[in-house]
Amino acid sequence: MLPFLIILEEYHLFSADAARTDIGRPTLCTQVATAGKRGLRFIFSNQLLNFPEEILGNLGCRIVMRLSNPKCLWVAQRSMGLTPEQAARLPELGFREALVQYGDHPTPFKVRVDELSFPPPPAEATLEEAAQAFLASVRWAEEAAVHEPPEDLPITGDALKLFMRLAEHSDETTSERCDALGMDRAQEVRARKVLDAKGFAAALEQTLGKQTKFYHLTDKGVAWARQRNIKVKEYKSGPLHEYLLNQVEKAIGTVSPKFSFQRNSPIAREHGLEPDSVLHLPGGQRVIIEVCCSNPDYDAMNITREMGVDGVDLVIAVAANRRLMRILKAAVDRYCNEDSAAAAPKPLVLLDAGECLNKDFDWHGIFERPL
Amino acid sequence: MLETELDRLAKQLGSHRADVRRLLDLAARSADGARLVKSIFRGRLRRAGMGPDDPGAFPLVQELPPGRLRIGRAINGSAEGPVFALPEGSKANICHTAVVGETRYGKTHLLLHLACQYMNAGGLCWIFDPEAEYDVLVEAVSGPLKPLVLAPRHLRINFFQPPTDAIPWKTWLEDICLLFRQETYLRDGSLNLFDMEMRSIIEHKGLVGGRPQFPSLAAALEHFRNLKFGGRKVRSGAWLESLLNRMGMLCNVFEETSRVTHSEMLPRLARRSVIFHLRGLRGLPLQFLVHYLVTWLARYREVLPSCSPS
Repeated sequence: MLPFLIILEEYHLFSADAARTDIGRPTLCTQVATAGKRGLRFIFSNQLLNFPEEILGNLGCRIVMRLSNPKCLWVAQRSMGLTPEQAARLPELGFREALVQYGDHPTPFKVRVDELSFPPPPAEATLEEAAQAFLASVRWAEEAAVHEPPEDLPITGDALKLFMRLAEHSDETTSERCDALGMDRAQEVRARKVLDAKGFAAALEQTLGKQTKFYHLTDKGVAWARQRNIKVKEYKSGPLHEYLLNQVEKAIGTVSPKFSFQRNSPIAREHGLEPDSVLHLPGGQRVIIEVCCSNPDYDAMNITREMGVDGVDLVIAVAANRRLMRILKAAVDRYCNEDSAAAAPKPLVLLDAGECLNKDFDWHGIFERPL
Repeated sequence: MLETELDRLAKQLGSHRADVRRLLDLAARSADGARLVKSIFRGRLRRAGMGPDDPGAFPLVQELPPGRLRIGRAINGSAEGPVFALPEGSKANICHTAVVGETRYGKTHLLLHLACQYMNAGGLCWIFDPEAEYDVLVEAVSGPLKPLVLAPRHLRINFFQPPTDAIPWKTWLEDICLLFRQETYLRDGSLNLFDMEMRSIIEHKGLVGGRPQFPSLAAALEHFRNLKFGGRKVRSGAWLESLLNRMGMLCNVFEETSRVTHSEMLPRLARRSVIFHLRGLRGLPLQFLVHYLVTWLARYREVLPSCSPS
């Protein structure tokens, strides 16, 4: 009989902090170690091979697909016993190609996964109908009545107004927020202090330029908002990133009304890249716009790879402040030197947000040159 | 020098193979033999489309263990190798598998491929799907083996109810304490308080039809909210705060299930394939739910190992 299969997609989302020794070993680790006796078989998927020892020790098969981050490569090399030359091949693996290692046959080998096409997924309504039909067939009992004591509202007035604004618009500066709420700066500061004392809001670590701070709801604030059905806007790469990208697009947009921007562009998708925004020029040229707010090394790696993508004529990278720009520039130089064998790189324009969001900045000059 | 190179070439060809071992024996006898074997090895590698001087090449694969779940084919240099199927392991040694790699290079494709074959072969499967990518399996799997897609809002379970009557509730309560400790980071003081009070609530509720009655999560939370300590027990107050925080969080996130006292849902789910849609759930509640379901299933199968598809 086939064992019961448990597939845990994106393992890192479910994994308790295995490094915390004060809480004992995470439940999954202990379950995996003894799962065989209960006829359970686990399949984990993750972006890194950084599973806890109990899981690594019980893996009968490791399937490693393309990895390019140096840290990931190092972990894979150490964990699978690859030679440095073999590890250097992992970034070259293509779509559906993988390196496989069995527990009892440690020599890794390369495989190509079969290509399959699946029928389109059913409509949400169909899935919901099936779930409701199942629910209707299950018996359960509920507590007749549970008394809930009324809860004090911990914030009111301006603090509540500010909280609601931060929940939906943390991608704005303090003055923009004051304008939207009709508050003066002193009122806003007083309200923010209340949220700060409750642990509901905090400033982001990164600033825009030298001193423009951005505020957002803390995890506690988000939990409180959700309890009260207050909508909290989520940002893929954080509010500062969103703000900066919007401002950069707005500034570039002033050069010509014919410029069009595209987020989630499929360009470079087959290279595993996801540019923040792609600017389409009237002449058919394409310019990738990258905004760097917190992880310059990772951004530098992506920028270097984007410079080598066919169909991209220019990459514009904007760092949130001067310090980040210096780090980003050094990292880009380093990656370019490492990858000197790659195709001739496209021109790169590296800018600091403080400089390029200034009204006097010459965006025309960048696009006047032939791309 | 020659020996090292022969060793490297043999590894690329597969040093466990009998013909390669025979040639290595021949090479060990004389220098001429070694040179001859070296050129044979290099020729074989070239024929297989592999550069013999490429130190980063992966070894050739002649045969792979059979398995019912075909994944693809091995690649030998520029040619296709044998079929690669997921190793089956044995009853004594069930092989767990890890699939690792960057986004958009085929991890989910591979897992969909496996899960589809597994379910169509009559295997049961629970998929914890944080990105809602596995719905296609509903169409790809036929008839009664079709998986059910459930979101946390569909769950009607009581976290305190043991998986079967054969598991004493006190044993299950210990499991729940461990889950609270490891997945919501509750400290010893809060856990002791939780354990002690839960025992008292369940004992106080008594038996109906020989079965213990379990409080719902919301009722347990209310009990803890009404708990009072004497002025001197200041630390107990802090432990209670943490406990109320975690239980309140679970009550809010799993609102639909928080009032359930008794349910037959999970034993029903253990007899079919399920895709748990976890999109929108994150952090500690996600961690708690996934670990709870895995622990529940492990305990359930400990008592009833041969659940067959319903």
